[in-house]
Amino acid sequence: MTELIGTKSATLLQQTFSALQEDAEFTAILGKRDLSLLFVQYDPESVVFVSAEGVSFTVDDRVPTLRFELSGDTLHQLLTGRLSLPRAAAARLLNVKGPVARLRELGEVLPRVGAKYGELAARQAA
Amino acid sequence: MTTATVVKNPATLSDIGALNSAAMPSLFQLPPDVAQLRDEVREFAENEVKPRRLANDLAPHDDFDWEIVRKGHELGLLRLTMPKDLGGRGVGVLGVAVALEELAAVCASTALIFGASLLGQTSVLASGDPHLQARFLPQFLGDEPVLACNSITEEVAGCDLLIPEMSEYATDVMSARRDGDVYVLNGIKRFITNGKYAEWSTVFANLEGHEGADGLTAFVVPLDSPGVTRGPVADKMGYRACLGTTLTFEDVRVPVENVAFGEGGGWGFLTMQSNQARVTVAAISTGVARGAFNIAREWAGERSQGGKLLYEQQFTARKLAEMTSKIEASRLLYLQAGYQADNMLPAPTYGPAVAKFYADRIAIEVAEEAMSILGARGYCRDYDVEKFVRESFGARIYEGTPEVLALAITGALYGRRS
Repeated sequence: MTELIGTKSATLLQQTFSALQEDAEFTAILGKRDLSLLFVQYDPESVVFVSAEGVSFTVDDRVPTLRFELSGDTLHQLLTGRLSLPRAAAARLLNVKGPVARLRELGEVLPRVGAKYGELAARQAA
Repeated sequence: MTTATVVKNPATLSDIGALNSAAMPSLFQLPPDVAQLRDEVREFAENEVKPRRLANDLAPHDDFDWEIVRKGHELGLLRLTMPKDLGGRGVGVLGVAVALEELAAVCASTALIFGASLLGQTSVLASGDPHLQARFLPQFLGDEPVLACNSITEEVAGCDLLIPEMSEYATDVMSARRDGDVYVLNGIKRFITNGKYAEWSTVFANLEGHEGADGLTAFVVPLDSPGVTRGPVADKMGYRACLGTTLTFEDVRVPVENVAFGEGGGWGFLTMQSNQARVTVAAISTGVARGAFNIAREWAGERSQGGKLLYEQQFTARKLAEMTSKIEASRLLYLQAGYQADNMLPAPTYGPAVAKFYADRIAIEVAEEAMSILGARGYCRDYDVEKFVRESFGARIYEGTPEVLALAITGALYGRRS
């Protein structure tokens, strides 16, 4: 999947979260947990803010529940299941701001993101 | 003799619970669950720990008071950081720190029993590994208390196993050799709090083939595994109610599933763990200072010399003012660092190191002044102050000496660490 690292993966990330807006269960989980996530990706640069209300690709004044700052490569590995969040944090591959205890709630969210991400990646590769 | 009324819990600057009850404004607000925990632990410390602290301190160095652990377990002190949906109390670093200050204000030694067990659990909790969690956490939810421990220190390697930049210089570090589906551990860990009775330990060992401690890896090891020997127990100057034990590992076979954070992930985890733990040790030191200060404050309010109570004498008043100022500052530092540790990953280096650096020092200073205010009584065991003096020196050693902390602090100041 290394071919996706670069501008393409930034686009793919945004496409993934856009597609997930059609997934009622995904947005219901975010709504039920009152959870909003901001991914600030570098190398390549990309921003995704996602909540039950929708997704946006710009930084604004909204404060997310959890803010992630990480490289495109790290995000790619997280979403493809090659790296776990705890290991990434311990290896200082990402920075998280927000209540650390709420990271557990991503156990319900990240697999859905990963599945959609993998599905779109496979479709693009085909 | 004239005596002054000593206000039991005065609404001091940083005693947030007291501020709340006195309806005084504060920049800080403890989360409701932490505030409740704080009150419960304060009551437990006063009613259960305080009556036993002298006896536990005077007991032989390898005696252990399971009854106090059992009562603390009933309160949930051995599962503080386990999420609520797993049966724990679900507090973070801030909550643990606040609870440990309450215990340490009565008996630091008892605080460390619970603190060391929680520290041992962090590898399993923070790994997010559901298999490790299913195997090693449920035992803390039973009726009987169960302890964990964290095994880092070795005979030759102390600070070399706390400062990542020094890892290549570590010598004779416990080794881990892969053999099929298991790792074989060999080495000796020293001064391991709870080592004598813990069910399992997080054990740091260096993978074979790596220089120094460059291959540091965290293993979760049941301490009834063949090849593990416990003892002897260290005969310590303070912290006598908690047992620091040597653990010997001789060809101990540990399944590969028991690795937390992956092969070579030990340093990353250890750094994160240390940064969090330093907050809680700063809280213990703050508690030690507070415990000693409370005795001195009470004494200075009832002891009269030269026709005036001690606290009315300028020299003693100055001492009391300095002591309470130091405690206030120390508490504010650890509360801020604890809040940071609960709200960022990787856990910050600077805040916890500064908090511990300061708290460890003022604990010694305040305890020593408290002893001087009590005069001859301060030198006698049954007035408790001398116990606080002895224990004030303990926290300066574990989870980073002032020398280690100074390197962490300057590392942050010069941009080498966060």
